[in-house]
Amino acid sequence: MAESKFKVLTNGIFKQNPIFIQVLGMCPTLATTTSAENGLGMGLATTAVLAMSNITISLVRNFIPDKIRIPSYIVIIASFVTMIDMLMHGFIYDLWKTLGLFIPLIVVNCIILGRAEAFASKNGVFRSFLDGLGMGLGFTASLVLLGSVREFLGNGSIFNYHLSDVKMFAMILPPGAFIALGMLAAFFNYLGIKRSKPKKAAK
Amino acid sequence: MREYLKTGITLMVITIIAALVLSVVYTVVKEPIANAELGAKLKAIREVLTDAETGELLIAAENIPETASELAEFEWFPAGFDSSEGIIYTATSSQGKVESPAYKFVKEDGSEIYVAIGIAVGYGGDVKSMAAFVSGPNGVSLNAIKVLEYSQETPGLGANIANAAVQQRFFPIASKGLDKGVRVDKDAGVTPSGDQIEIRKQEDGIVTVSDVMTGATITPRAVAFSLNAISEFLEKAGVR
Amino acid sequence: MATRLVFIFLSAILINNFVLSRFLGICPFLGVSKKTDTAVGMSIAVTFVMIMASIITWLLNIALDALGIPFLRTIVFILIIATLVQFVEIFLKKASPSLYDALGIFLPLITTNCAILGLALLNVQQNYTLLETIVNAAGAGLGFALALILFSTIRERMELSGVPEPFKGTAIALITAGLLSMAFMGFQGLVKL
Repeated sequence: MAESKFKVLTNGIFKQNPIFIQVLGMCPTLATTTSAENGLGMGLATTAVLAMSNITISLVRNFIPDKIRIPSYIVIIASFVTMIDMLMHGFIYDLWKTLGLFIPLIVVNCIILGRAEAFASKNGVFRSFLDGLGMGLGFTASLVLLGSVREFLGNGSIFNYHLSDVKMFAMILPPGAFIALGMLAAFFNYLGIKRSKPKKAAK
Repeated sequence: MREYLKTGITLMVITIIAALVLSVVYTVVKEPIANAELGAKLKAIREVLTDAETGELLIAAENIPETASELAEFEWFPAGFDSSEGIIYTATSSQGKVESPAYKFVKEDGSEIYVAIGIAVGYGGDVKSMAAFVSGPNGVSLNAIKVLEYSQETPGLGANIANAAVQQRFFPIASKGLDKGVRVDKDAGVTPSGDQIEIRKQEDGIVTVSDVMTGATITPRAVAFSLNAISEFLEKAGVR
Repeated sequence: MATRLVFIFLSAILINNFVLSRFLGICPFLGVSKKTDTAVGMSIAVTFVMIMASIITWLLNIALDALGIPFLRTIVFILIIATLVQFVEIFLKKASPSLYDALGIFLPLITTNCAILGLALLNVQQNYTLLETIVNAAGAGLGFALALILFSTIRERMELSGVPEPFKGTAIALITAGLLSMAFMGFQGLVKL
């Protein structure tokens, strides 16, 4: 399984995109994408936790007995989340206030525990770091995409840069989140189907 | 049995190390957090002390507090009230509380400005609004408000109270309107439009928000309650 | 007092439904809702964990604040939840092995159900009394159950209808959830304080 380090990194962005392919980490995805900026903030905070927890878990993977690995991972992840929460509270107050409850909820973002279990517990430190970084970037990119779509349709702007006067209020509300994500998921599925069709025809 | 002991101890060790690391981070970050919270409060004070009509500061720029100690100089504790658990007054006419401490500023011409934070329960939790009441020739009027805390309100609905455009519907309100009690248009049973929006606000204290906050009444109602609580507090303190 | 409790209860189930308005508990919502039986079983397990976890975390929070270590809240809360889920797992294995098998991997995943941790944190954030906490937890569990069971009945029928290829699976599920969320928005303003 000698995947190139580059592949480990890009895995999380396309092939195993946490949101669109693995369907993990849904809660923050829907809740924090009311604007592109919020999506970006949440994505970066999660990426930070992902990277740090993957590194730490990879470092101590040989010392943790198998029976309690899940609770141990959870404690490690929760510590990093608390750290990020405190740092954001002190240094990026406005974003902290906007993201609110969802910062401590990074703990239960299935992506982090999922990667700890699937990758960091079985791979070296640098690779685990790359995996965490890649998944985090894929997550962030997806959040920014969804956030931009919702912000554009719901508020006529992207990253607060005013672009159009069309304001479909419903996009910023909960139903809009579900539907926007559903449409994006369908779109990516469609791309995936188109890609595999010529291959099938060639066979 | 030994195995359980071993796993239990390992988990405990991990938790203790985590707790220790966090304590270190906590002591380092405690001050920036306090500064950030203070900064937000000072920013809000600066905003509510800006004249709603002219956009100019009501008191000289150099007198606006910029540190915790400067702010403490403006703390106001009128006689007859005691602050317990951070609350200086609880409204009796409806729900709403006033946070302690309240602040009093004095304009150049000697008239007073009272700044207080009102708290009322919204959809999912407390909604906190800072408001500046200015005493003038026609009595004490509401100059400006800034909603500080609304994080539990429904995103996209009640949470739109964060928009400056929505908050601006709440001020300024003349003394006459305050006497009648600040109410959201839905609660008053009317839907003013055009010029009537401003007139009903000044005369009757009716705040029109149903057009900018469709479907969300509880959050703006909470803001109205907190303003009434501060208004009542000022009355009991004898300044209104 | 009683009206406030009723309001909290109704709010958690209908007006501010944990899944459809607050976006908490989406992973199991999408993952376990393919069959109504598993949905019901999951709902019961989650509601139980929610109520127990809310009570225990509420009590522990007082201790945390008293000891001056509020920053350990997240860690302590999630450990409590993980432990409770372990107990539920052990209990379920003995009491109802069929349900245990049906839930499969999703049972331990209740730990990562953001609805439970979210509920625990919300109770604390909103300074609820113990009684309000219990009512909120019961409402949250019922709201989760309502959303999950409704959704599973819809999905069961969708299995049999002609969904276009790109929409199959998650995409159509999300769009359906959006429509359900829209329907629940009709409950806004249901209770006037």
